[in-house]
Amino acid sequence: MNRTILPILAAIALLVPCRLDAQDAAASPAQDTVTPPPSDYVSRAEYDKLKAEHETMKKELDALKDAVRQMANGTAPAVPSGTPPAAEAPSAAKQVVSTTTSQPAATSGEAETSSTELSGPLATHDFSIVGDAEVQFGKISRQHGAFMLADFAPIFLFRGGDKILFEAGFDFILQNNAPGGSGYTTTVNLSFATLDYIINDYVTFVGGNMLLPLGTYSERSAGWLNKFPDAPLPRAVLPGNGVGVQLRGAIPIGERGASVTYSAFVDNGVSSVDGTANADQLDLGGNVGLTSDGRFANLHGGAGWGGRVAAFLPWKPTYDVEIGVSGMSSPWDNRARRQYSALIADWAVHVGPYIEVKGEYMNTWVGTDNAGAIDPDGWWIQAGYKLGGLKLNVPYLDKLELVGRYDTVDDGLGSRTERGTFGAVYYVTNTLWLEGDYEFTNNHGPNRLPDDSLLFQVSYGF
Amino acid sequence: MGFSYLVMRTSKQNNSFFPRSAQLIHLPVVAAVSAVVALIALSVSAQTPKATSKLKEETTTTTAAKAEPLSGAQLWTMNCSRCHMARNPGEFTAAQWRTIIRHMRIRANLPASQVKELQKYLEAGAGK
Repeated sequence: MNRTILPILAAIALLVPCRLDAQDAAASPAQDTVTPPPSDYVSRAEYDKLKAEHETMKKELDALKDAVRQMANGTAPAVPSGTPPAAEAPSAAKQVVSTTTSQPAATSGEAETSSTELSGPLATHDFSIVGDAEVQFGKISRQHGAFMLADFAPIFLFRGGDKILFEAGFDFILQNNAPGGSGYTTTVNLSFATLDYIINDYVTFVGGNMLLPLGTYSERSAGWLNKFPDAPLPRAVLPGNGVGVQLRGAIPIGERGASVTYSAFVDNGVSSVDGTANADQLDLGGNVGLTSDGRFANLHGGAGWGGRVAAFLPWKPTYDVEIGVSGMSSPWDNRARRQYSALIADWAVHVGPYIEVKGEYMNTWVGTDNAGAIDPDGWWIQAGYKLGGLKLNVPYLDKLELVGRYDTVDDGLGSRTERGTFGAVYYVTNTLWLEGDYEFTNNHGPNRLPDDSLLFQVSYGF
Repeated sequence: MGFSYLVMRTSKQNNSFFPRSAQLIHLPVVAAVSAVVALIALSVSAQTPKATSKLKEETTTTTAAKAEPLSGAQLWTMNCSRCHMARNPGEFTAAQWRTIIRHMRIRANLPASQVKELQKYLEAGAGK
């Protein structure tokens, strides 16, 4: 037994000093520093924390690299296209979040920066197409029901540099050739085509075939923007567009979004079908382009002029009032002796995101050779209420808007028509609408307009 | 099916909504109505800062924040939904937004200062 113990003891005797030396070596710094450790000392907990942060940042960096790689390959996931509710204005925080739907890990500041960087340098010019398309079914009293409209209305936009925009809108419509012929024709109308030049923050030059700023319907309510399948009746007493030049702009009032806007134009004015100043020959859409024999189509050589002044007064987002006054004057017969004048008042009120009321009143004065001075006039008012305002949380009802309109027109030649329209708009998406309306029409006088109608329309804005 | 009960009858049966004697005063009438509406609207808008001033003692910082210019997101809600359902920033690319916002600036007569904020907001959230 002693033989076995002795070697063990000897080994212990040899090892113990070594072990003590090692312990001394290891312990000496601590023993030397009974005082606090130096400032560059990193504890285990701090090290682990830093390591975890490093790993997190590494993962975020990898995610960003993947996102950049995907975008470079054109395979980046699309940003969700659903419309955020317009109930209240998004806060600044929401604004930033919405910019980074593909970068959920980024913080707000990082998101804004990276989003701008990822978008890359913006082109100094761009060609885009927007517009709308409609399909309509109608049943007019004492007529067969029919699909009566297929309208494709693209707007071509070309932005050049910082100042220029060229915009042209078209209407592609099917026109049946009956009763004069068979089949149908596809008509293409140039709704407008203008070259716009931004002179400064307050003045923009517009030249070409312009939508005239008479009221707001032509510029901002027609087509896809209209909650009804057809236009208000009294718009027929006004020209929709004219060829000429225009200066327009806006002056902000305060910091709460209010502004005063103006438009002033000079154009060829209105015209006469046969050149005379007989009352039934007024041609509001004429006086443009070249005639078939190569002559300028300006019948009278006189100019039309007019404009609009308006105030937009919001008190918070989606709560606002806009009122405007506009008018124009132009000779219209071939001798330029008879004058056409128009005066329009327009208004629009939004009470939250669910209630809208707007309308126009227009009066025109037309000097004629055979009927003295006539005054075609009319007015319309429409209202809409989105049922989402009831907070019912019923999926289909929440996307429904009830709409109503009253419009009346007097042609100044002995005929007057009143119409009441009631219907609804169902918003499938923010750009795809289903519209259904019933129109009650009451005619007086010889020039009758279509009777009661039931109309359905699918509208898509793109 | 008529709706004559909706029709406003006037002394003028054939030519216009107003009697002929009243036609000459259309212009001042419209101007007066517009002025009244403008005054009402201005008074409504003028009441908003008064309401906030009542809260000034309690929420000085909040009032100060309300005096700041509107953000691009607020302008987006305020201006775009006036005429149509507002388009989500992600529906167009940044380059397309630059073109579309210029189109809308001219068409809707939007002030340049607001357009700049709108453009920042739309481009920041633009689709790829």
